[in-house]
Amino acid sequence: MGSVPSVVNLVKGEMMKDDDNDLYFVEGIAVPETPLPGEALPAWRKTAVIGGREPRVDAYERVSGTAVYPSDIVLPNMLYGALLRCPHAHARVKKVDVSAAEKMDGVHAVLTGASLGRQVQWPYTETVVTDLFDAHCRFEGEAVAAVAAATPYAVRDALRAIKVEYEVLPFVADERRALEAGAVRIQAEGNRLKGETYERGDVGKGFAEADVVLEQEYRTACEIHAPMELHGCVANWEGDSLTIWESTQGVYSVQAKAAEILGLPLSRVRVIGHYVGGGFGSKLQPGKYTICAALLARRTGRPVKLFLSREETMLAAGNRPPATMTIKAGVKKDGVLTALQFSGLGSGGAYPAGGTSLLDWLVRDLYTCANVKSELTDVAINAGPARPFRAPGHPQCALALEQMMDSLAEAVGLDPVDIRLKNVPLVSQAREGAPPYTTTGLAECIRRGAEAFGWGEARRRTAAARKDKGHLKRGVGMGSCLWVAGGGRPPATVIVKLFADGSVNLNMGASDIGTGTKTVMSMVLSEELGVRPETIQIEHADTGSTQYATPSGGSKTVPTESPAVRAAAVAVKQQLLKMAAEELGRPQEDLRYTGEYIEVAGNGKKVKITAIAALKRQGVVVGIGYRGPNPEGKAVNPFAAQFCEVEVNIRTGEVRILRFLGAHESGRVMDRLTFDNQVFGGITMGIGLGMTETRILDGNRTGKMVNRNLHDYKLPTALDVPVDMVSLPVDMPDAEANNTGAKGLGEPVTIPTAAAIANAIYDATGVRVQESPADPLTMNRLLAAQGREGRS
Amino acid sequence: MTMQFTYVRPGSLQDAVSHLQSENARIHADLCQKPRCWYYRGEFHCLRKGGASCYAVSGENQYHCILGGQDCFIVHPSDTAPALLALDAHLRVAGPGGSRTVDMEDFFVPPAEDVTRETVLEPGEIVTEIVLPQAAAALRSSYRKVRARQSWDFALAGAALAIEQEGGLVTKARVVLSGAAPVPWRAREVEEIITDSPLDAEVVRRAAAAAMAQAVPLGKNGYKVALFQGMLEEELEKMRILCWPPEGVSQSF
Repeated sequence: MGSVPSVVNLVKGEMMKDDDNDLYFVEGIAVPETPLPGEALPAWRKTAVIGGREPRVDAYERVSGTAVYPSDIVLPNMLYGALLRCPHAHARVKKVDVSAAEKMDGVHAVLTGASLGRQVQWPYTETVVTDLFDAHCRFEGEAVAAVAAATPYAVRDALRAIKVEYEVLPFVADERRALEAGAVRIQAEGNRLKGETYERGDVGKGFAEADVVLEQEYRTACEIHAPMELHGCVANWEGDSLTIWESTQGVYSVQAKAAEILGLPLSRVRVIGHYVGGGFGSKLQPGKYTICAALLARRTGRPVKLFLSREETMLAAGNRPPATMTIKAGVKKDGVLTALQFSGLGSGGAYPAGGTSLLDWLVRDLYTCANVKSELTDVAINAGPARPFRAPGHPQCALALEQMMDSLAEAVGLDPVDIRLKNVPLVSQAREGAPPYTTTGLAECIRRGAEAFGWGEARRRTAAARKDKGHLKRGVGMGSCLWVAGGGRPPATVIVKLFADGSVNLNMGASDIGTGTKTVMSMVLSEELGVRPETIQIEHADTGSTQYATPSGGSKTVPTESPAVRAAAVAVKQQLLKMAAEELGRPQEDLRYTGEYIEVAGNGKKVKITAIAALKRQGVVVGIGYRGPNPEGKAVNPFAAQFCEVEVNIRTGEVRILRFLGAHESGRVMDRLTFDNQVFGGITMGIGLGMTETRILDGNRTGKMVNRNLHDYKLPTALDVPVDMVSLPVDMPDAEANNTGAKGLGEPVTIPTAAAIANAIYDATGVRVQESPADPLTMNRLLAAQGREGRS
Repeated sequence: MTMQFTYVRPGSLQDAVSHLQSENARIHADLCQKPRCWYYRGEFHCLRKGGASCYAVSGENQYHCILGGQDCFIVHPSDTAPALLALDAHLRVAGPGGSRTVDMEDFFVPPAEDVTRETVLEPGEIVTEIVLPQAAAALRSSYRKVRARQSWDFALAGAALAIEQEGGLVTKARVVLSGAAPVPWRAREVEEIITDSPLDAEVVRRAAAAAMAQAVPLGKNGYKVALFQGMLEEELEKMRILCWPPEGVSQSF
């Protein structure tokens, strides 16, 4: 797309000539054939735009600061809202005295449990529902009161002026102690929230058949959500209609929950979220902050902006639950798995919040194994509720399973690559009826990734260096994965409008959470309509003006929305062809849409799109596209393998990651640039899990989170991420999955990262990273333990 | 106004000092930063804030001190202070009552002396100058820092070394630890062992072990003992190489 006229030029009118139709159309690219109405959309064969490197369509807005994020919204007469939060891990509110706060200058409204009573209920789950300001505060950071005031300072001053009398209760801060006799009861029914078991085959038989059986224990620390843009919203009422600008991954999910809690019809709740500064699962749903902003705005008759502080976010806006795992595996001498047994204990905090969600999925489904048994226990602790966190359960499970695979390989004398290739399944064994995958790139990711990484040579090099006396040890490691979802699904409705001048508007409800959704969808339109991606006007993520969409999460936005976008584009083309057929007096089958023109096959006769009289008359052609169903009896999942090299200083326990390679199969590569961005971002986040991040609760005395700031909670920095990162797409268009052949990518990119690092550390040192993160604290403990026993 | 910064990564303490001689150079000395202890900074009424007890002693003390703790177990956050102490700096202090000179050695107040203060500065006093003695030609120096992540982090363990050697023997040594104690911590045991000795493997091992001989780890910071020993061994070995070849042979580092 080299010689594209810039939008600035278009606006200046420099290119504006009456007959200049290539304003919006690209010259010289072949658009796909248009199927007749009612015909199924065939898979793309050769693509002109899709698969290329298209910069973000909103790059300028994002980089220049002109993009308006929800936290940028300022409305006339707007007030600032804030929540008073319980400072104790576990307490009962005895009394809230707001008299001083209410009298303060600039304070417009104060809401408490006493003033709201039972009117407003907060559904932690479908069955666990509490008052919005529940007197029983089960975690530090639970909301106790809300204030609206004239300035951000006044509102914080008012919070400090509220006097709360608490009865401080005993607490549990560690999931491993939640079920101990004498542990304080957090939920009425006890601290065991959910148990889940899975079994296929007979693990006893499997272990008996094995040549080698190993058992290992692991623990991953709790990770905190830390999106760049904080959680929150601006709420404004016009009459009985509520508008919420929320930093969210899904405007329709915010609409649904807000309407339900506030008792409003969906039609009277409009949620807008054009931009969102990062969302990794914690913004799939609204929070108490959303409801409080709406209530404060109602009470004051003024717009209210309520965004959390970073500290509040860390306490109350979600986390990846800690996981304590035991894995036992049996393998034959040839590397074939005979049995896998797994048990996982996790906690999503004080309320049921998926503390063990999908924690065993990789054990169940990643490798071929006839005999599998797993047991999950989700318990309550006095900590902030979890929210989905990029690939729930998977990276934790990968840390255990992928290290176990390497241990098995070592025990039977196989290379880590070879043992995995021995056990690649073609069907999803854990699903009812063991459906085949539409496509699986697992073996290709492992093979091509290993080749591009130089795996064999690197393994020989690190093995040879093992005899060296130096204290800087090199090691290489890998991990592979699948992601349980990633196929996308209905519903999705997309509207595409082509105006009389040939310009195009895309209307979809989905959020672009920074992954490039708008860019990819523009590329789909460009591919089908022959229009330039950067000239497409996009309206999205607004329940008032765009169509219903499920939230952007689960690695499903591209495979969910892109087929609907393509269908809508084809619907536009079909209508234009019908108009042209009437105008030219030819049957529609004889005509071909080429982008700028509609041509009559064979005789060279053509009509410009913008010259079609019916289009001029009508002003616009509206195409509606729907997401069709997924193939029956098939599983649609993305696959990956990642490889890395580390250097470990065995004197100090410092680990340096030298290079990383991610080989990912997510169906068709839509935009190579956004694809690579996801891979690099996912690896970076995985380095956080593997190397630096851990929530620290003051376990002995108070249960409070001591590291709730961006200095003490250690997200990886640029220097923690290797310069040498390679994204290797395994491009396998999945014609069966949907009409664009794409699968999701956002989650698999972070699943095997920590495991690959751990395996590399083992290769370097002989130490198994049994707990995350592998920082000098952990590594010195593990190396010291090894020092007593020596490298095995 | 746009500020222009030049980023340099000094190879040694003297190298860092030499950069300070350029025009407009500034040092962020970090001499008076309040403790980074999360109990002290957080919503905990700890001893240092006038409360009844230290929360760290039986709490989340993975980043706390292993040396010099008494009642309070903070670590001093500065990287610069240990370096300045190793270089034998003194400070000019000015206040309403006039100016005075304070030796770096006497500037910091350990909790054993007064748990509510970190320095000898009186109310209204500020540090106005850092004065360094002329470095000897034989001086070799370094600062090493191990941290939990590679930027935006304080030392889990650190050491500033200022060592002079002659004829293969250490003639003068100042070794100061960061991340170890409530104040920049002179590792005098190390200095004594290596002075008048060659930095050979045996001496290095003994010196590193001696640095930790008095260490009293808390529940969760025991890892620091092995970490400091390993780091000191590595740094002392580097120092041996830095001082090679012996005097009289020209070298440029």
